[in-house]
Order: sequence, then structure tokens, then C-alpha cells
Amino acid sequence: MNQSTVEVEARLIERIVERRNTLLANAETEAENILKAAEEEVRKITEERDQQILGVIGSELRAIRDRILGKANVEGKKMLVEVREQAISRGFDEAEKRLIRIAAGEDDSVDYWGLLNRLIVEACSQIGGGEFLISANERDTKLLKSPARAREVKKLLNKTLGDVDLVVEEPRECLGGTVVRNREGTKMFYNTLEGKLLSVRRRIEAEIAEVLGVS
Amino acid sequence: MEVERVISISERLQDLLKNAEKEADDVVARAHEQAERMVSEAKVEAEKKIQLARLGQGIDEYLKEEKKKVTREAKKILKEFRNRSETSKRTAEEKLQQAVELIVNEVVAG
Repeated sequence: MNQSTVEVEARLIERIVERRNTLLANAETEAENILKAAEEEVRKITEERDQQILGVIGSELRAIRDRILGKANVEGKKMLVEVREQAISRGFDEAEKRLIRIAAGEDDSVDYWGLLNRLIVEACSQIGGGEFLISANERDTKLLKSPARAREVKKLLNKTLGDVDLVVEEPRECLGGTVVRNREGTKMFYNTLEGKLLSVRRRIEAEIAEVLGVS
Repeated sequence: MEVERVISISERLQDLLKNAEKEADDVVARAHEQAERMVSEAKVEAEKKIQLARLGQGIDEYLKEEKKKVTREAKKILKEFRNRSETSKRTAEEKLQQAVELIVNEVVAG
């Protein structure tokens, strides 16, 4: 066998093997593409299936959504309401502490004696008549029983209501202000600071919430 | 003698090529079969699940998934409310004295 024959054989073998490999590689690539396309179609079928099922069970899904989100919203709103209530209560608690200082004469910004007089006149005016029994806290009772102060109050009442009789009763528990009743005990007017505070709270709670930024 | 040898090799190589072509065709045919089977099974499975869903069966996974999704949304909502609450608390603390002044003035002047 000469050299050229060997070379021809070798080239022939080489070409055929190369062609075989190409054929098989192309087939593998085509197979992969076919399977990829199939996977894509399966994905679409699954997606379409899920959409259809979601459509079928829509009411159940909505019920879950409404229940969970509804609960979250209720909890969240409750949280805000609690913050609002706490802030307002804190405002009124602090105001009460300030009123205690005012009633004790520890706050120069308010003339408490003038305020007490005004509350007494207001209460007597509301009750009407000419005989009043007034009560206040221990500190104020002492003041009202002192002759000079008693004259001052009576003068003020005389000026507003005409001639009146005034009796200062035993002390009662209150922050400040007064409780006045008529002699017969048929009419009573609470004009205490805590009563005023309560009434202010009912009246301006929304305004206070606005000021505190929790409305 | 040498020519015969070359012809013999050539024939064997042609056989090899034919086998390769057949093998390639088989690979593609198997892929087609597998693909058809995959798609067909998916269609059957999909139809079955849709039918079951209409009867209210086999929907637990969907409900569970929806619950998970909505729970995440709910957490976000609560977080927003929590942030609003914290902001409100801070504002209320800053404005406390202003509110106290207003209340005391109303009590004293009212």
C-alpha cells in the first residue's frame, strides 16, 4: 500500500466521521429546541390553567382578601384611635394638674380667687333666689369663711343678685370651684373645676385632637 | 488490490453515515414524542384541575398562595398604620403644651 492510498483513506475517514458528528450534533440541537418549545407550551398551559382556576375560585379568594385586609385595616384604625385617645387624655390630665396648681395658688398666671368668685356668682345666678349654701374644698372653705373674704363674696353677689344670704358649708372633695344649693335643697349647681374640665372636654375634644395633630 | 481496499472502506463509511443519519432521526423523533407527551399530559392535568376546582377540590394550594400574598399586603398596611401612629404620637407630644393652654383657658374663662 503506497503512501498516497493511505492518505486518501485517512481523508475519507476523517470527512465521514466529521459529517457523522455534525449530523448527531445537529440532531441534539434540534431535539433540545423541540423540548424547550414543549416546556414553553406546558408553561403557558399551566399559566392558563391557573388563571382559569383563579377565575373559578374568585369568590373564595376575595373572601380571604377581604378577611385579612379587613382585619389589618381594623387593627390599624384601632391603633390610631388609641393614639388619639391617649394623646387627648394626656392633654386633659396635664390640664388637670395645672388646674390643681392654679387652685392651690401656685400659678401666678390665673387669679384663682377672682375665678372662684366668678364661679360662685355664676352658680348662684343659675339657682336663683336669695339664700345659698356654698361648699368648696378645704383650702377654699377656709378662705370663704374668713370675714374679709366672705364680705367680698357677699358684696359681689349683692351687686349681681341683690340682697342674698350666704352660708359656707363643710368642705367637700374637689379640685377647686364650688357647689351651690338653695336653702330648701331643691336646686344644686356644680361649678367645680373638674366639672368645668369635663364639660370643656365634651365641648372641645375634637378641637384638642386637631391641636395635637391626632384628629 | 489497493482499489478494492479503498472501495471496501468507502462502503463501510457509507454504512456508518447511514447509521448516523438514522440515529439523528431517532434523536429528533424521540424529542418530538417526549414533547407531545409533555404537552398532552399538561393539557389533561390542566383540564382535570379545572374540573376539580369547579367542584371546590384541589384548590388549597391556590388559597394558601393567596393567603400568603394577602398576608404580605396586610403586613405592609399595618406597618403604614404603625408609622402614622408613631408620627401622631410625636406630634401630640410636641403640641401638648399648646393643648393644655387651650384647655385651661377654656376652663378658666368659660
